[in-house]
This record gives sequence, structure tokens and C-alpha cells, in this order.
Amino acid sequence: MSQPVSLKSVNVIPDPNTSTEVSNGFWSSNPISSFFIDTYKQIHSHRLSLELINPGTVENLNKEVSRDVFLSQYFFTGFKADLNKAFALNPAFQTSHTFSIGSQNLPSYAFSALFADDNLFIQGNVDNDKSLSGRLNYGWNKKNISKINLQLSNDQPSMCQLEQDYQGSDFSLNFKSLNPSFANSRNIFTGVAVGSLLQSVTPQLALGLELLYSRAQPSAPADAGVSYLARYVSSKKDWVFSGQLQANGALVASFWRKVLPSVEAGIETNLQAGMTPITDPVLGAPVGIQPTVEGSTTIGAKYEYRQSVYRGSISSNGKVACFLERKVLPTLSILFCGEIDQFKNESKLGCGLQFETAGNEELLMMQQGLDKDGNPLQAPPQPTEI
Amino acid sequence: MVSLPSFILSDESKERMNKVWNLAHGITHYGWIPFILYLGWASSPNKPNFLNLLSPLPSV
Amino acid sequence: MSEGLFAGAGATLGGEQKKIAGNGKSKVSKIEEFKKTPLYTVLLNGGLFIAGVVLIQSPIMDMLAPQL
Repeated sequence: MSQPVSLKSVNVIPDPNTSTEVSNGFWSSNPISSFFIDTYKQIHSHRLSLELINPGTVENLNKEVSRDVFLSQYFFTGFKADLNKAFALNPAFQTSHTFSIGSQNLPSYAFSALFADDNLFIQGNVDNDKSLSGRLNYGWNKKNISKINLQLSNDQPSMCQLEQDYQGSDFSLNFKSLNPSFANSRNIFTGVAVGSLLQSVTPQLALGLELLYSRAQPSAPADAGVSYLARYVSSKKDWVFSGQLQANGALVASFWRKVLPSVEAGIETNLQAGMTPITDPVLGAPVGIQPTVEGSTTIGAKYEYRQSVYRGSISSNGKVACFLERKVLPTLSILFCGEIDQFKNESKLGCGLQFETAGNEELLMMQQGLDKDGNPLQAPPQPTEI
Repeated sequence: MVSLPSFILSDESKERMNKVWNLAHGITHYGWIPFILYLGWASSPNKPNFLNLLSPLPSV
Repeated sequence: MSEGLFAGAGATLGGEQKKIAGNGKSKVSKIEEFKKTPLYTVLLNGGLFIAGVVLIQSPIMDMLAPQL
């Protein structure tokens, strides 16, 4: 359950655009440079007059649907028990022990720790196979965030992703690189490099491009591709449409609406174009290629209340799924998730318990809805859900 | 295509680089969680002891 | 002359009837064939998406939300 933590920074750097106001004698009197400065100022003031806002990151292009409403992020199978222990709220520090039985993808035991303050977020998770996954986000200031994603294990190849986010007044830039390396015989780049730009065009519409370059081996040819992105947020911010045409031939369209403060609904369509070789029925030799398109559409809804969160979805490939989360005690939640594949006649089931404990007395009282002296709190505390 | 000036490395220095890389990998692998625990321990008001930090039971 | 005209018309009519009959026979298999083409997947999912958006935007969705 990794949700981005907003990184607030204390130090605010001066806007570079205001520094041009301090006119340097040489630059302002020089006809060539003053022309450029004036043009820049004109464009800049026109840009400000459009009242554009930051469109959000490329990563969050369809976050409302795929991460908030849909339950695939939260789905698990088998039985699991989470024991979360909070030590401090600000800066946030908590540890968590997860035990699980009867699941193919969850490890039988995992320990995770999390620390977050105003500009640093660091999280780590280690399981019984000693494989580690870690995340580190550091906000240099309000606009610049560096991120590191790690996946280290003893028997599988390790993975390291470096990422830099820049959030401008009306655009977002992002550079990331997966397993970058120059350490090979020819000193050429291997790994994956992705650069993306999302620019607000009107206060509602943002358009973006994503460039991808990858090379697995120095001897193999490199791969490059361009993805196109679009996001439209209604003026009341109660519905969002987003579309992506990805470099690998996938088209993703999604739509999200906030029906009520506690009810959200979303739909996502995925079309994946590809090529399959046609083989000669007699000889079995390839005689040509044929375009194929695979598609699926999923519609889902999320109901969120003070004590419980319900998610449900139906997909055009026959999958019906639900995820229920209910707080039965201030310190205990129960989770239930199930999925039925109507076409394949398969089903998956997951049950879970979540305990919240505390590392000090004040937090323990707070979890019970009491303050330090044992008097009931006015408003129930919102646990930092990360 | 990105091509940096290539360096000619002897086998020993290559081996040394490999060793340094493996060491960094090991330190990150086994030091990441302890580092988070240290950061959290240093910032929490009542410095919990090691056992409290690792036990899932409430420690009050 | 007129007989010839009718005969001609009859001939063309007969031809058309044959065509229609032929269509009727292969109608099912043609739909089956169309179902295998990529265009069908695109149209189906596009249609589902539009239907879903209409459903979510319609007052039906508001009625699905409990009034608390």
C-alpha cells in the first residue's frame, strides 16, 4: 500500500523568473539580449495569464482509477495478518510484521519499516528469503524530488531505479532510469531510460509525451519508443478522463468520477495491439504476420466510510472482484477479498487481519480514541495510511 | 548513441571495481532496514529499546 | 418487347434473390468471422467504455450511492 507522501519543504527557493527583474546594465541595454528577455517576459506573462495549474505527475495520470478505485493493488490470496506498530506520528515512524499462509505471491513472513518527515520518505521491506525492496524519496525543495527504488535479493537479479521529478508551475518533468550501467567493455549505456513531460494546455487539459530508450545488452540493438498522454480534469474536479497511447502498442483510456464524497466510480479500457506470426498449416513455417488486438474493460466503484472501505469491479474478461476492509475495533481491521473468473471458472480468496499497536503510551491511547490523560478525543485520529 | 571515452582497465582494477560493487550491494542489502530503524529510533520521543523496536507487541 | 423487358427484370430479380439467400446462409459464420477480427475487439471495448462512462455520469450512479 504505497501511496506517495506529499513532501513539504521548508526552504523556498526564489523564482528564477523574478531575477530577470533585477536588470543588469549590459543585458538590458544590449539590443539582442533585450529582445530575447522581452520576448521571454511576454511569453511568460501570457503563460501566467492562462492561469494554468500543475497537471500532476505522469505516474499519477490515471491514479484515481487504477490505484484508488480498482482493487488490483490491494488484492491478495490466502490468509494474512499485519501487525503494525507506530512509534511516532510526526515524523512518522512505524514498523510492520506480516505473516501469511496459503498464498503464491506473498512471502510467509515480511518485516517492513517506514520513516517519513517533511522532505524525506524512506521505506524498506524484507521477507523470509532475505530479499529487500526499498524506496527512498527526498524532496530537495517544493519542486524537485529524487527517488530511488531498490529490489535486492540473493537469487534474482537486483533492480535499481533512479528517478528525478520536477514539478513546474504548469508542467511536470520526470526522468527515470532502470538499472543504468556503463560498466561494460564498450562503455555504452545499458538499461532503461525514460523521460516524460506533462504540460497543461488549458486549466483542464494536460498533454504529455514520454520517451523511452532501452538496451538490454551492449551487443544488442537499442529500443526506443514514444508514448502520448492526455488528461482532462473537469472544472469542478469531480471527474477525470485520461488516455495513453503507449510505445508498445497499448491504448489505455480511463474515466473517473466522484459521485459523492464517499463514493467514487471508474472505468478503464485497455487495448493491446500486437503481431502474431501466421504459420503454414502443413509445414509449420512462418508465412506472414497478422495484427491482433487484445482488449479488456473494467468498471469499478469504491465506497469509503469512516469504519470501512468497499471496492468492487467487473471486467469484460469475466472477472468479478471485491475487496472489503472494515475496522471492527479502533486497533483491529478485517480484510476480505475475492475474485471469480466466470470464463475460466476460477476463484481466488483472501482474508486478513490488521492490528494497530503502538510503541509508546500516548499513541496507544490515541489509537483507543483517548488523549494523554485518558479523556476521549474530539475527533478520531486519522492514522497515517502509507 | 551515448558513448563515453573508454578507459582501459587492467584485470586487477576490474576485479577491484567488482569487489567494491559487491560490497556496496551487500551494505545496501543488509543496511537499509537498520538505517531506517536508526532514523526512526533517533527521531521518536521515547527512544525505544532494540527489543521493542522489533517486537510486534505493544510496548508500554 | 415488353416480354423481353420483364424477362430481363425477372432474371435480375432472380439473381438478387439468390444473393440474398446466399447471404442468409453465411450470416452466422460471417458474424463469427467478424468476431475474430481486431476491429471487433476495438469496437466492443470502445463501446463498453462509452457505455460505462454514460452509466457513471448518469443519475443511475447517483442512485447506487447510499444516502446516509
